[in-house]
Amino acid sequence: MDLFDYTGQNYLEESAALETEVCIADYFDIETFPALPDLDTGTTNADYVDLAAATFTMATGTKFHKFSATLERNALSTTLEGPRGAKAFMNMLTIARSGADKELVGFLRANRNRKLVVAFKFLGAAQYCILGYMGLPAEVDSGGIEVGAEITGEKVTNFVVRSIFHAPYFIDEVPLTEAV
Amino acid sequence: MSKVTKILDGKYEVLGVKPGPIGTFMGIVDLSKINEATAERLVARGSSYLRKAKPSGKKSKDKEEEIS
Repeated sequence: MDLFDYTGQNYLEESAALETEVCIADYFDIETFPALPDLDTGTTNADYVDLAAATFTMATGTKFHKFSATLERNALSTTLEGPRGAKAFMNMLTIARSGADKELVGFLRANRNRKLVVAFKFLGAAQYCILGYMGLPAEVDSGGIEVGAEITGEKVTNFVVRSIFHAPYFIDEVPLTEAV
Repeated sequence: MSKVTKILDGKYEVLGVKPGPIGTFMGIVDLSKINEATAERLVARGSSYLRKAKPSGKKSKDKEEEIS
């Protein structure tokens, strides 16, 4: 990996927030992961995290599943953790849906201990970000249901997906229909 | 990804998945419901799940030689 200039660019449509649709796959449904970038041939900083048109090869009949979250409730925190000279990425994706019902409680029950790969988009982005990779799946770190006492209070189901070591990688497409 | 399903009167081929929703640069696009304009945009962008079908029918040997 080489050191490149970062000169930046002024994006006039820049804003924070994530898109509401999150794509979630069972780690064990993925037969082949997209190849990681070749660290020897990168010519820009982006080349070290851009998987571009690489694909997930899913087991027959499996796919990424949609989770429709609530606008301005999903959030990403990526930090560099570890001792000097050995920093790793730690990624925490908060996914939140306003409401609490049997569909959401069932979702938490079914997936709270599942090994996952999760894809999501920054608001207005063309590519998906993925968390979880071969050998290092993402997992639910925390979550739950909050129902406030007041009628005007909060009612939300949320869970935090954590992945470790890898940076968030960027990929062009995610299959939300069954592999054949 | 080797299995292929033809869509849009055989003009395009879906690769490796059932024709259905794919997360793309345009958002979630359902390959079973798209029109040719959307298919063309996806192919132009280098979609891994959609390609243009090759024209059917064999070229004559003379014609192939002309092209090469």
